[in-house]
Amino acid sequence: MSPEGLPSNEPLAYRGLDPTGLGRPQGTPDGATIGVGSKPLLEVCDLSVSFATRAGEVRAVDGVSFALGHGEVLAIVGESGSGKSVCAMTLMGLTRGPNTTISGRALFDGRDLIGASEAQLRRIRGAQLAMVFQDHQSSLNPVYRVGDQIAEQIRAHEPFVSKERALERAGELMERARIPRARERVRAYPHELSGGMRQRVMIAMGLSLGAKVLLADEPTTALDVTVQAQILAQLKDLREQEDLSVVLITHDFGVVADIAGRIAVMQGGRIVEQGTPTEIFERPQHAYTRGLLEALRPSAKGRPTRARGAALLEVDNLRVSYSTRGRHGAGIDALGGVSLTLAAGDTLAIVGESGCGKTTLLRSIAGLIEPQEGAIRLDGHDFASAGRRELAAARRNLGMVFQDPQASLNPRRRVGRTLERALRARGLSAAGARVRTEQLLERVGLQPAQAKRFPHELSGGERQRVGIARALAGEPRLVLLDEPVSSLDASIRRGVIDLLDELQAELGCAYVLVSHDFTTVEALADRIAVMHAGEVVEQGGARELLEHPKHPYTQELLAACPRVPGLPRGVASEAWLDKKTSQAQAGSLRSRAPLPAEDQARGAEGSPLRPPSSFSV
Amino acid sequence: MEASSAPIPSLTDGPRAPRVSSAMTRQLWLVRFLARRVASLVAVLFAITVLTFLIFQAIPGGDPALRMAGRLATPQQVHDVRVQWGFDKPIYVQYLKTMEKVLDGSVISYSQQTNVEQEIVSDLPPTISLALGAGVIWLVVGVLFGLLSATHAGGWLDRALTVVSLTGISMPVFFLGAIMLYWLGYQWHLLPLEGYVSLTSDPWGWFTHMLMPWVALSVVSIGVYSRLLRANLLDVMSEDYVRTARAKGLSERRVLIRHVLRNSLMGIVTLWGLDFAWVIGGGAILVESVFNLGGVGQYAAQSIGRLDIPPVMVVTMLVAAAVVVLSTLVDIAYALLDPRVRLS
Repeated sequence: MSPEGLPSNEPLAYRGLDPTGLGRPQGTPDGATIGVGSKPLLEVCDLSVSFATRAGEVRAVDGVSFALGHGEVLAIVGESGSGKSVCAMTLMGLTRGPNTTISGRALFDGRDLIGASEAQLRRIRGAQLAMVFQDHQSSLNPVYRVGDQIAEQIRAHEPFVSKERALERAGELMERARIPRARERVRAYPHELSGGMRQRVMIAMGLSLGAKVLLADEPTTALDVTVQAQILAQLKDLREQEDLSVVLITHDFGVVADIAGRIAVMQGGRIVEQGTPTEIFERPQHAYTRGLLEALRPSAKGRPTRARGAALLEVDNLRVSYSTRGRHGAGIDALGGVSLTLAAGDTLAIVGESGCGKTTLLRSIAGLIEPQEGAIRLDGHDFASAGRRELAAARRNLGMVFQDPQASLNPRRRVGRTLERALRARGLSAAGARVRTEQLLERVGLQPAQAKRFPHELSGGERQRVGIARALAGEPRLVLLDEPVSSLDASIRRGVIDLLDELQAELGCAYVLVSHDFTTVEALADRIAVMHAGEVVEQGGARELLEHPKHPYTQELLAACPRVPGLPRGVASEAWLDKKTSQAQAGSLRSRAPLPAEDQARGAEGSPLRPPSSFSV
Repeated sequence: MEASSAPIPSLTDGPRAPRVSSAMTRQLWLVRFLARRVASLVAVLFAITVLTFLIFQAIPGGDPALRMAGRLATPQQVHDVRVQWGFDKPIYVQYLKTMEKVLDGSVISYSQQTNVEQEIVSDLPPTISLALGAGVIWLVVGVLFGLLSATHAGGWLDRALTVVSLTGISMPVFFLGAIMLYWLGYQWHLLPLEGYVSLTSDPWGWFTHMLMPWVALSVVSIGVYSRLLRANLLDVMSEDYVRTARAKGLSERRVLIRHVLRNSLMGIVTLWGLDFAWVIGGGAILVESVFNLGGVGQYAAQSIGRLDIPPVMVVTMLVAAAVVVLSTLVDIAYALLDPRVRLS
């Protein structure tokens, strides 16, 4: 595989940043633009994609235009349903079908991708135009070895290469994609690799025939922050060393900040704004962009340090190990002696990467896992020594909010019924439960009439509000929040975080928050515990820990967090705090002005803006 | 702030490296797996024989002594038979005696006075011929129909195949068999009417004699398999890795065969194994009887009619054993088809 050489007469404008700023929209109606210069590698002009669904025609992409030069990274940023993935998949020819109407032009290296026949397109995709998908779990075929899957692609385009040679090349590619022990792992199955490695295999596969353009659709969204940082660094190196052009599709401005040469913001199928990172971050023109950026700011009251109350939850030297099948005695230590305390009305955030034991810890506290050693005391009652009945009573003081509101609400039950059942389980009469349900719904910012809705008739944010209402049904003193906003779009996240914050102030319940997102943690946490490999490596007051992390792991974790320039990821700025305080004083706690984007984003989520097949938009 | 003095954790992908199991442990796994299956086979056989034995005790008119002594027998003769055959002993003794004979191959049919195991061995060739031929036909045609249906989902071919499949599923074997016998055998003389010819003595005769039974037995299964496979295929087609396969630039045929079909076959494999076991164990009673193949199923049907416990018990054991053995093979096939599956 030889990297495509860059023609020496290529205008500078196509090498990353556009110094003149001429790539900026100048009066084009939808703010979209075609880059200046002579020969862009990929040129998309007025691309529209609509899907015929039972509910009528849905236009997922609506007149999108952009250009991508050699060695350039273009980031397309938008929330779910904005059409960004459909856009990329259309370029790959993956949205073609009887129910799809595609119009516009997409020129790749002078060849038309939209009008190309399936056979012509097949020669381009995989060879010159490659794609990396979001979900590393399902993007590789589980029944074939990863090396074979790479070799398959090589041989599909170069049929005269022997299988042995193709496998050898697969090994080289995986080595270059920085997969440790790559030569051995050629023979590994996807499930034997970590998420980061699987994504690297996808990148190796994409580049196996010297692709000029890589379409990366949320390549790091499902990964841990430190792995995300590594993958992004790799993409950056590929751009610099091999002159690879990348279209990076993401919902996260933080991810694109220091890799993208240009950023296009998509909303409702259109590019609403396009420019260099400096322009987008410092002088966002469109209200939607401003809203998205606003949602990234540290939220609410940066949690003033308060006097700590009596301990509500005490976790003492907790040990949990899972026995692995077929092996005697030997188990995997999920928790190796964890001790924590949480005061009444406080929030303790547990941060760490996947596999660090944070979920196990949360489940142990919820009484779903029986620890091998150690004690969990809620209000002085020891879970381990408690009888069945006592345990049930103690659990009533516990509420839990789950990560995925879609999966954690019964899809066949109206949300009002879900709440009523939670209330009835705590001994309320049928009539009492109904009244309380209405109160709960109102308290979490929903209409009482929405009790009649089914979960799928609500937007993601609304569903999570129902999840919160359910957790609060028993007026618990402790609520466990398991990644409560990570499945939500950024603009909706803020509303849910604010709600959690208000509810805590109002009800005085304590939170244990598990999250990998420092914006969420910072907004809610009084104290933070950093976990790694089943142990708490550092804990302390939220502000101190974020400002002055002591443990190298914490430092690395914080450093790996993607951030937008100009926006402090550390601690809420004083000006921001002042603004928030005055807002809070001016009106009630619920006076939060809705973000301009929120309603639109919610509308999009509720609408059938999904193509008929299963790709996620 | 309490920063512990734990060593700096590594942030690379290294720690989650797979535990590559050596060939040695893999073989050990297989041995353990097979040992467990053998144990479960014994348990299943024990349970099923006890149950069968008890059922025959409970059936009215099931007293074998009365039947064996004949209609005109005196009470003394009945008593003699009872003592001679051990029917006066407690049930568990009778059961143990019967099982002992079953195991050493000397069990005698109550009504025919023939050795049951020899009967069954001689009845196995037609049954195995039926199972193998029909199994291949319904698998191949079912997969073909399923593939065509799924790739033309919603189109006229899909709809036509759906109609064909549903007709096949709802067609009673004895009806279809009778129709085929009448037209193909009796009216047009295309195929022999009934009976079994051994493969070794006359291959062509074997083939022509088996053709109608194969078709009759396959029709239902073809319908079921093609519907099931169609659904599986459509599910797998929307998987992310199929999208990846297309994005790699593979031809549509390669995507379909290597990535879609391979991953859709799991459910079919299970079903096929169990259906095949069922036929081997004499489950195709109707087909065997309609075409008078003289197989295990027909023997079982006749024995049930005579309330003859020993043959019924042996045939039941054969079915159970076939099911356990085939499902073991299915599980091994599963582990070969899907590397994520571990035998346990």
